[in-house]
Amino acid sequence: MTAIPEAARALRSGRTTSRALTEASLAAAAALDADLSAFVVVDTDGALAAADAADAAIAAGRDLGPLMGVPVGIKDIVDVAGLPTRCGSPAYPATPAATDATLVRRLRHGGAVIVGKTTTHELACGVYSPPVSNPWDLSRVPGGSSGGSGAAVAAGIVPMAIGSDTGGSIRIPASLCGTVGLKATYGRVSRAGVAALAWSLDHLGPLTATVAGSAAALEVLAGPDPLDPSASARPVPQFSRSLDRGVDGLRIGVLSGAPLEPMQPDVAEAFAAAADLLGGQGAAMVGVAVPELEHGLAAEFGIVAPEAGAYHRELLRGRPDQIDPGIRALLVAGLMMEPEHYFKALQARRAIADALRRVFAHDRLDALITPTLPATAAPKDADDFRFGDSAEPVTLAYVRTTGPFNLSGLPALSVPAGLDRDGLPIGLQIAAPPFDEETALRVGASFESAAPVSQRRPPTHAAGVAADG
Amino acid sequence: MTDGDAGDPVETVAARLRGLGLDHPAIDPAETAADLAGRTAASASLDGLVSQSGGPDPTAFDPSWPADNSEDPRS
Repeated sequence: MTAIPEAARALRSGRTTSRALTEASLAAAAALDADLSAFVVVDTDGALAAADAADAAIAAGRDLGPLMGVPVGIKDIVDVAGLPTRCGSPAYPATPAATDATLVRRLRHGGAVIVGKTTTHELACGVYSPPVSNPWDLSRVPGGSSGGSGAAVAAGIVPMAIGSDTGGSIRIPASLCGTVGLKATYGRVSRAGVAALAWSLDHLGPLTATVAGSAAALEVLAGPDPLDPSASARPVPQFSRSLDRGVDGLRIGVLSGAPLEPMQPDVAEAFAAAADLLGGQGAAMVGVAVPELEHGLAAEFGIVAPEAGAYHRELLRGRPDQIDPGIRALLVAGLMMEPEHYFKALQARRAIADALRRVFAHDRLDALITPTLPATAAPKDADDFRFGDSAEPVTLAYVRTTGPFNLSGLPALSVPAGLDRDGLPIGLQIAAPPFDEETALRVGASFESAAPVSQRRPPTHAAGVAADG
Repeated sequence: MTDGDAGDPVETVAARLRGLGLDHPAIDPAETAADLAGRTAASASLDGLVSQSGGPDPTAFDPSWPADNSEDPRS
């Protein structure tokens, strides 16, 4: 599937049509999804109708924006009118949603073509996203909870899919599947019409094939919304305007210590190489440490449990047997724990956000980089990673490097940064000050332009469908 | 054992589960008690990071950086 900026140019020049792009997307889904399980529903009729409408708009000389005529996927916790929102749970009804979520309405107004709903980990609460497979190795997890979105984009079925991110659920599948994933600042993208996991940590955003695709998608998705009181009224810049400015003159923090250790050696090597690459492109690389981030996991789960428990309390009371046991334990704990623990976690969040603010200020940073994750894609049946002599649950390992940016609300972008010795993707995470997604995207684009894996494709990819067909 | 008996931690949890309408065969009081103990310990690990009394209001979450440090700390 053609990436977003190229697709937009091809559509406007008449070199392709939205119907052709959409039919290719539908054909790729039909050919690959038996292996990937990236989609829970494909809306063939709705997609082709939207594609024809986009082609008619193009023919009439209308320009609806950078996603006009582009096929996209929507995570199945987001309401799409006419399709059910199942949240990866047998407890959710098959009744179609009556209205679109705000972000879906924005996508439709922008002429995007909704191909289908992508698979989520149950209740958006987990990093495995069964039964989704990773296109780089079908025996590995795609990450989660937006695992279907990561697999669909990595396999070239769609150039953009929507994810949600409460502790890393956009960036984790982006890193493990070798795509770009953008969690914008808290409040940048409306949450209205989206099932919650934890209200104060939930973010929505795109997974895309390229950094330019994420910039284009955010231009469509971002903006105020009276239906979401947390949605920011700040002006939405043209995020793509700085993509080709490079990093010369920027100051970029290179995080060390907590919460990065332990990490796999190949990840450490790729992270060091990424810092060298950005330094070679002219950025001033500044080593920094934020010891407070050691407490990120305790704060993250101290907030997720009570907020998720409150959100799902009726489900928990009525049909607890229909909830995965691990998720059920989290929800029960959320209703059982004393309020003191919740408020302590909220205060810890403030301390962590303040610590990040201080390091940005003290070192006059424009951005901060970390490995997106300390490890690559785990086997589907793995409970733990082995780091030397120690073991760590897969879920905790994945969330410890991403969660601090949910706690702080800072924008954080994951871009592909290499492959490990098993040919599995490694991600580079780029965080920026509040509402400065533009800088994170600028750094990501500069890195992407020179990163060695930007042209690599996974073994399970739509290009193979086209070649075979 | 009654709902008010706090002698047995598992029975105390069972009583609280009943009080919350969560008495269901799928929810095991002993497992819940063990899980809660782990989460309480995790919460205690935050004691060194946060003030033990008072402190800033943490409930009105705003991702913007406070004005007293200037909105953009790089400026």
